[in-house]
Amino acid sequence: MTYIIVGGSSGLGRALAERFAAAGCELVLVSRDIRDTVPLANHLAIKYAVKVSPIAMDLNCSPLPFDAIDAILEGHLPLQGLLMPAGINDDNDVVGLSDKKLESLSRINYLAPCQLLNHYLPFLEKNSGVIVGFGSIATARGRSRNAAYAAAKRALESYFESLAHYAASSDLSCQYYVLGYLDTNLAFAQNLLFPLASVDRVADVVYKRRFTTGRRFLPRPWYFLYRVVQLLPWAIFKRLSF
Amino acid sequence: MSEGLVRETCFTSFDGTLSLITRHQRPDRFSHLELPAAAVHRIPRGGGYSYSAASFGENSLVQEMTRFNRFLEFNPEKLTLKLEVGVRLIDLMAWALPRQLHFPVLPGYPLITVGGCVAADVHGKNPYKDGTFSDWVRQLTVFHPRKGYQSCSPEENPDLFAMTCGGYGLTGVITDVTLQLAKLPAPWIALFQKRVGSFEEAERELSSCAADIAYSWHDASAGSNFGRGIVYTGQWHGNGAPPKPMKFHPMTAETRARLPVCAWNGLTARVANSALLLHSRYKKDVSVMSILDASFPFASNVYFHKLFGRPGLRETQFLMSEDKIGQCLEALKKLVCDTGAPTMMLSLKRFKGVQKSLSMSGTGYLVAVDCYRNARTDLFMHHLDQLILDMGGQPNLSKDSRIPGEVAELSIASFAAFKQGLFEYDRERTMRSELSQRLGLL
Repeated sequence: MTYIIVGGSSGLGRALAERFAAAGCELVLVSRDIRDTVPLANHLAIKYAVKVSPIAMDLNCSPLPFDAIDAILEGHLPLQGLLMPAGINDDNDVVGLSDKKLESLSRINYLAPCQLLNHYLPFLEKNSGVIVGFGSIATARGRSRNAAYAAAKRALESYFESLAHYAASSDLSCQYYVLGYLDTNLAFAQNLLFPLASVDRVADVVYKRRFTTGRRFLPRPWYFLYRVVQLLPWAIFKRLSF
Repeated sequence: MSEGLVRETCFTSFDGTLSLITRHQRPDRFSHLELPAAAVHRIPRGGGYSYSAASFGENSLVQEMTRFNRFLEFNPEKLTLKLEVGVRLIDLMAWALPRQLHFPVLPGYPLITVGGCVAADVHGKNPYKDGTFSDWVRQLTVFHPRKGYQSCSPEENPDLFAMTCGGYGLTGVITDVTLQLAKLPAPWIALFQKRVGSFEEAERELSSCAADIAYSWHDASAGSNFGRGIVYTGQWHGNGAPPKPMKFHPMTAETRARLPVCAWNGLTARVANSALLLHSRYKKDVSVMSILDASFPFASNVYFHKLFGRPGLRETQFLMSEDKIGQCLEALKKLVCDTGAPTMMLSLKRFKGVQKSLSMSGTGYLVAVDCYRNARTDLFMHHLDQLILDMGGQPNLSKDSRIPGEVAELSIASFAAFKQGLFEYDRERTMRSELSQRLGLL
């Protein structure tokens, strides 16, 4: 079976690619820079002897080049899943950011994943497939930082709730993971309050739970922090800077 | 000046003698590697197992390449494997062994990266038979911020290739390496041990054997036991299934130095060495083990290094010609006994190769000496430097964090040519480390 991994060249995307390839799945890796995707595709093919096809695609472009991905899929086993660990945030993402940045953050974090999901939904419904989306702990409550990013991810979460409701009577599995701090390059450069989770462990959970449906926090303890932030009285929350 | 995702990190040389806080980037994609402006001084870093500070330096951005760790291309006819520079030796062997392949030049620790092996042109357990790491490198890609990506091999850009193998990252960031693999002769190694009473006896054993693995260990603590030791020789052995993957607790420069004090001193060194010699009397003279256990003895025996604690250790390695090795070891024995030097152990390997760039290679015997640190250590090392210079020896820059620039300049045959080549290749000396600063390569 074949899985499409969007944002599959580094961080969690790469860990997912490694985990699914180790399990013998064929992969289509989609990422912005083909220079990163081709080496990973070669690596997985050499290490696990599976068919992996790389393709360059910028989620910020419209319309998305579905034809190119569909052409690649024709040479693969039937499509089984769509994993979308893609996203982008911006240090200058505060209320009042430029229209261009607002549009870009909305497109990459919300619109493009929804468009991909919509495009492949008929195939995946037919194959009892899997759709996996990824959100962030940053969506717990709107803050002055990550304003557009959090809004887009919250919108994506809502869309996945709708998807779960839509697919409740079918064999389609859909999960939405709310991610805490992961050991990625983004976290590497930050002084963070909490320990980082290994992307390999997260990828392992995603693989093992791929045929389930629902929202899940990874790592699990982040659920409690998420709830605490949501329940904080406004008088306290407005004073916090994080 | 944008440098991408960068933090401040305190780096420590593996011997624990040098520490420095500097900017640290860990690129995981090409755009991040290229992000720092060309004017930013930088130095690549692999696993961080060099005893000298070759992968960090003052005002130099450290580009840690451990996330560039993908296998890129395998040619089953030529048995060449192209891989990214951050692939660790343990991962290389874990891939190769089930495919009945292996890589013959393995330095002592499994988490060393392929890039680090090229940069320091390391050697394995029998450099007389297998040469050094660069002898097995077929092609490299080097990224330099002012020159872009350059492919080099013995045929293409041979000068850059020669300067990069053993060039300690000063020509740029190696992004990928094509290695020549070898067919696995057998899945196991039969390691023979023979007790010897002196260096001369060990030399005779090493020079007369045609083993796949050949080195000796000696008691180097000052006293009557000085020079007594064990010669290890190994041969491929057996058939059947390849060994299982190795299990070990990773050791880094930081975890090595957790003990706040050094447990080694004159007494504990003598006791430990005597215990090892005594143990060898009751141990079988042949043990069958996996190639990984035979190649990476310090992966499972971490206590030797850990007991040096936070004060760290001093190691020095040098190559001495065959005609002078006997005289050199006599002089070394006298030096240790006269000065009460804090030496612990000494190791010998027979070597064959051609010296190039800053690498240690040539024909002769490799001598490795480990010392704990006290007031006499640096004076002993100073005398040892003089001995190496007097006898025409050649130091290993990756194993000694204090080799002065003058000693390197006088003892490494191609030092001047390397320096001239580097200065012509990179007038700004973009790649900088504590090592390059100490050697006057800025």
